[in-house]
Amino acid sequence: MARIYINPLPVRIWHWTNALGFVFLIVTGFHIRYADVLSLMSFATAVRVHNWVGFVLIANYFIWLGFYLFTDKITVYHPELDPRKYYKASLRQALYYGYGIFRGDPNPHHATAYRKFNALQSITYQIVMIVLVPIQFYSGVLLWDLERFAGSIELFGGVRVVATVHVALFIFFTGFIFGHAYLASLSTRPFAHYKAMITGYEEDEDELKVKQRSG
Amino acid sequence: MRVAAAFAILLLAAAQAAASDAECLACHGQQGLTKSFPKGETLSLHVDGEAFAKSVHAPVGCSACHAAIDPKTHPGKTREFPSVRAYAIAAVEACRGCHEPIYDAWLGSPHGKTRARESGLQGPICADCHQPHAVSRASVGTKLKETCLTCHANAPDAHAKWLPNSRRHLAVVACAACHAPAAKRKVDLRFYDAAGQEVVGGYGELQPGRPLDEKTLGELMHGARGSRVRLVGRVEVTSGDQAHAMAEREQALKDCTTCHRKGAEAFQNVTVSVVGPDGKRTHYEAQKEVLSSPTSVDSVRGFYAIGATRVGVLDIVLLLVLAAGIAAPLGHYALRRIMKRRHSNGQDLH
Repeated sequence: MARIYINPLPVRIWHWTNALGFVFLIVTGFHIRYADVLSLMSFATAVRVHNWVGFVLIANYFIWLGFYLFTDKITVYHPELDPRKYYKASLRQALYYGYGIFRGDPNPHHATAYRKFNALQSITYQIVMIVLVPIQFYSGVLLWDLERFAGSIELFGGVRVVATVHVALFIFFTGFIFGHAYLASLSTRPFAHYKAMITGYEEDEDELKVKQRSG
Repeated sequence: MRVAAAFAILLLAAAQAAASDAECLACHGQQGLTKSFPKGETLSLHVDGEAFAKSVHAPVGCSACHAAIDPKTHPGKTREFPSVRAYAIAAVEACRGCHEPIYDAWLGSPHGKTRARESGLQGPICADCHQPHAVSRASVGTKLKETCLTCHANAPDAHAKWLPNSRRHLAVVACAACHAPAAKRKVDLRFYDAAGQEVVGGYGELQPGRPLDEKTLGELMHGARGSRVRLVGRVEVTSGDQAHAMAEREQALKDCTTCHRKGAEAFQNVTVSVVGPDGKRTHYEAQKEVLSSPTSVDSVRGFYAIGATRVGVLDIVLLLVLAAGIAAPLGHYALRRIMKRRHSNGQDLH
């Protein structure tokens, strides 16, 4: 069976550390913001865990950044510079998720080691990893020690503005986790993409489909 | 008529006090005037006239506290004290004369108990924290925290061991807000300039009467944008006697959720305060919503207490995102299953 080595080891380490870390950050984030509603742990424990996990994920971010900056795999994030081409590919992918998938149409995107993301994934992950995640980490660091970073906080409009940005992104990432987990199951086999993120190898979807039909 | 008469009496008393204060300061305003004690200690009798004139004690004058001194015989033989400390302790009675509830609260606190326990000489007394001849309202400035730290020098390190953002807590939460756990707390918003100094005279026109709402505050701070004046909040206790009812260290508030939760008591009472050129602080009542309204994120950008002052709109957005995050995948999955079944049924029919 055709298998593509799509997720190199550093990417897999970064991904699962990030996934686990984000779950911790979201759970502790809920506790910090809604201490009057949740009581799985104390407020102080939630803050302590939130801070430590935050720093671990910042370090982890540099595994991702280092890997893609210093290997040729950065092509997976290369944007399509022709807007018409990009728009067409995005529309095709959106139509597949919103319509074609229900008819049993094939996924219009075929992942390769150098083009593993479809047009929608590519733009989403670029925005998430290059803009939103750094803003979330940076605002988190500022909130971790308000006195040490008082100058920067003032520059960004004050503690309430920084906290509101941090919470708004927390809401986004909470929604993202649900969407991401579900979309990752949209393969010929529900756990194929999950498996690929563990073993590194992705099986060819068309081949799988043929196998499923014959078997 | 009665009010006018009372006002006239007060004016007269103040005028008399000012006149006699000038007599006292004629000597005590001079540097170098000292009193000797049997153990060889000396006490400076110098009073800074300018600082005294600005203090809250200025209206009552020297004689209100130093009633035992008879101007006709002074400086003559006065009551003898074995030490400077013994003299200062005796002077506490003068404070008690006007500040009885505060005195009682202090007496029941570890500060008062230490003094009673340790032969009466140790333990902080009024003058250790409050400069009697330059005393300002406790709510003015943050000098009192520095005063606490002169004895409790290890407090910042001790707090840093368990309290997240401990330096910010020490900067914006009055010591008594946690160490007098029974006290009623409030938030006081103050005007600060870009250099971190409180703006004398505040910013713009504040009118007493109706509590300030977020719209009024927003308009006020919109005008302040160019001058880079911002509102910074402090958590304080609402009265002086409560501020002196300190508890033992073990009883101090350590549960973060006392403040960091929706509806916390400390955030139900909000004021905006301004220090005038005379050093007197004036408080203006504000609506508690100014701390959590989405429209005041900008005007009250210098104060945020996690959980307690959270913006309700974001809670609704979070709920919607959670609902969509669960419902959308479930709906999509269900539709896929239905369509797949139909598709295979259709194939079977053919």
